[in-house]
Amino acid sequence: MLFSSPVFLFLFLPLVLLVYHVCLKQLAARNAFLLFVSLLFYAWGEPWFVLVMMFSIFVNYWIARGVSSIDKKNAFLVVMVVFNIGILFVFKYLAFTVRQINALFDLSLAVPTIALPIGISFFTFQAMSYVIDVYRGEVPVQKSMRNLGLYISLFPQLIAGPIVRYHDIVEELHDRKVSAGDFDDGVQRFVIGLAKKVLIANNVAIAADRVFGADVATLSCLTAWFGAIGYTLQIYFDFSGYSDMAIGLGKMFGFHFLENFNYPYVAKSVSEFWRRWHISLGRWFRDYVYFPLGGSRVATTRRLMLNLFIVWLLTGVWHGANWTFVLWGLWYCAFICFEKGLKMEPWLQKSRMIGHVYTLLVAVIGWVFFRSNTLGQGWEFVKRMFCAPSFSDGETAFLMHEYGVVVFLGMLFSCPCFKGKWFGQVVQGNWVYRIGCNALYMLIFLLSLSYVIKSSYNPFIYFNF
Amino acid sequence: MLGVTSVVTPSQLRMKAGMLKSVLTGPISQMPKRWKTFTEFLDKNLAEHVIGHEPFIELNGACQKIQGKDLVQDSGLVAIYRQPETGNLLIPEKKAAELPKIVENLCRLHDNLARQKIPLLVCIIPDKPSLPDATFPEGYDFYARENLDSFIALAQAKELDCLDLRDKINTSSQFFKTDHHLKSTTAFVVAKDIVDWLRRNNVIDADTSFDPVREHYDEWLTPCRFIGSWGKRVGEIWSGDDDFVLMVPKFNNSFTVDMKALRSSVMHREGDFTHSILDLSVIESTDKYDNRWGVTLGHYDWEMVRIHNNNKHSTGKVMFIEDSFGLGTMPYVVPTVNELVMIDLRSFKDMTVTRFIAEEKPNAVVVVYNSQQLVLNNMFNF
Repeated sequence: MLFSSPVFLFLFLPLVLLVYHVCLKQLAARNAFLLFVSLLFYAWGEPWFVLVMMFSIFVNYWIARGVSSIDKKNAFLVVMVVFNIGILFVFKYLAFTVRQINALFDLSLAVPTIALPIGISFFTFQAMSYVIDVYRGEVPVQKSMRNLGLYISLFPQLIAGPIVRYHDIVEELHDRKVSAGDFDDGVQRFVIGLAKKVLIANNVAIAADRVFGADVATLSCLTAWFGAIGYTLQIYFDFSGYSDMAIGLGKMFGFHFLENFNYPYVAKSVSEFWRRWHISLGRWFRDYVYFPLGGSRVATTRRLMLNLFIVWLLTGVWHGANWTFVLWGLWYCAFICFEKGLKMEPWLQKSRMIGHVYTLLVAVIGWVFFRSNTLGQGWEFVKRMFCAPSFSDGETAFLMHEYGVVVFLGMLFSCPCFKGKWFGQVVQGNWVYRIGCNALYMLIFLLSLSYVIKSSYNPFIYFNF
Repeated sequence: MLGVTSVVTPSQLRMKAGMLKSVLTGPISQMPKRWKTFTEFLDKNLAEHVIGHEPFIELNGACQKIQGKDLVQDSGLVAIYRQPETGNLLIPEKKAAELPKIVENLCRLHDNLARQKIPLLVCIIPDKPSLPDATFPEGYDFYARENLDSFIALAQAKELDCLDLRDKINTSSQFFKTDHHLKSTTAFVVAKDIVDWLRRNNVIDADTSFDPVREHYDEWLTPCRFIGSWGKRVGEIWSGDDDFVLMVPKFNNSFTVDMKALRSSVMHREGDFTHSILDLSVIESTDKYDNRWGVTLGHYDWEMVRIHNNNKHSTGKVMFIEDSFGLGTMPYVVPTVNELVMIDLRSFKDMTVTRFIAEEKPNAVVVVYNSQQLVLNNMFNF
């Protein structure tokens, strides 16, 4: 089920909110109900996959119980890593691995056809973070399988994040209230997220897909750039929109998830970009891979580079089973190593425009590889961006005519236009502006609904992870 | 022994395992499929049938118009393009992959009918995307013209009697702007060619009093405004609307019509042209979304229709194997024949076409489709 589908907006969410807030008063009942509807939400698209998730919850629950005991906690930790990575490997990477083995050793092993459970990377990483935190003694073990199941499967963040850390919501699992302000914030956040997704992401996606689907040899320079920028905007508004909806939904039920995006395209260095993009994933790798390896507090620069290489290799691999994702991860590794190695970041932060342009270039080119089906296609695409025989053509004019407005709006709203202090003060202080804001939210919601009801172009990109 | 009340034997275990297996592979194994059917049904139909989607479609169309867009992505149709010069709506059309097979099926039908001395006419009416003035942005499949040209060439090579309407139906003004169908005035032109062919093949007599020519019909600009099927997907604000001109016979006429829809009983009508052949209720609403172009028989995809011309001066029994383009053309053919039987292969499943023809024994068979059927290729199994 998608957040931006009529079934969710008109049936599932209203019913769930009604039952949760009006019919159920006890927290235990509310938790049980949320767990049930979360499983129903996940089972909507593919019923069998909910069994995979329930099995994961069951196993991780018992592993955490084992890890919390004094004896053999290391053994349990190893079992947890093997189990969770194993699940991820089988569903996500097995086919790719077999194909590579076949190519490398000229074999003809049967390539398994295994459907990918939606969101498996997210809920697996959440489960792993819980067990590791229990192992480290940072959180007490959750004795209720229902509550653990709720943490892992909570529908707002189940399918595409943010990756919620157990210690961020453990108290809310046992005690939470939803204030009117929280609910209001949640609704507004959800409306903004929905608009990002259906008004901007879905529409630039059409342009991006058109360019990336064309024969790369026919692309003019501007057309290639239009496609690259289109995808840059698509993935941001798609993913951040989903995160906004997840955060908003969480608030409606009394959960406060951490922010997952902070206007990454205004960053002035690649390091800063990754402090603003998919923040929950960055924190996960930082806390569970980078820091255990020593982080930046290592004796030699060489060791620091190695740590960064491992983290970014894994980050790329996490995103998908394709060499393009590996290259994409290592692309960022190279620039982060460059910034850290030469201590460039302070200079880039001061230089503002240079840092900004440099970061955007790195990001846009990175997304080209991320989007491409093969390394070769990505490379050819980047070449067209910089040295195509023709600068522009009829296709460029068509794209500008049809999608220029939405691309412009995407570029505008990827900057924090309405977050300035002055705006907040004006809105807070003036009832006319508050009414105007509410009316604007309603208009945005209705516009979004119009696209939801009409649109067919609706997949969330990060569902593939 | 104390405390032991029963022992499960291996055979009992095997029986229980068998029962479990039969449940798991029986009803339980069907549950995911049924669940998916249910969820897909809700996903597909909730917006359209529960919420009332027209205001939202219009709002969406307004957004598209404000952005100055000429191309709207639409569910099920890939994209709808509004030609800037004419405001005409067009959709892409893929390359027809199985034209030789289609022609082969038609040849088989022809040969079968030839053994029964029944002439066959193949009338593939050009659709909007196949017209010379139809254009579409690059990067979309737009093979309509090529499909039609290839089909006619193949059909003529096989010496099939095939109406070539490319010269007569050649501008988008002959079609509704917001719909893919012919206007009545254009269907009128097609009907004349069919009638001429019937006469050449001695299916009908030489009396031309009821032929579809302008002297025999009045052109009635109805008060109806409607939004066609393509326009309904994008809203009137973006697509505009259409007027509706109806051709109504001047001569006296009377028909008996029996219509059968799929899994329904036969409906019966009797009366003159506007009361039996036409269903004017579909163009009488003040709501443009309610009105439909298909005033013929209410434009349902009838499984089978039998029309008897009570005018004793007409002769001949004709069978139409048709889609909605045939439905639009039929009213101007039926005054020239004694009986017209129509079947639509999307719903006619009771028996094979060849068997039905053998039972009905028509004097001629006319296959009347729009050229998009060459791509869909699900209407040529006779």
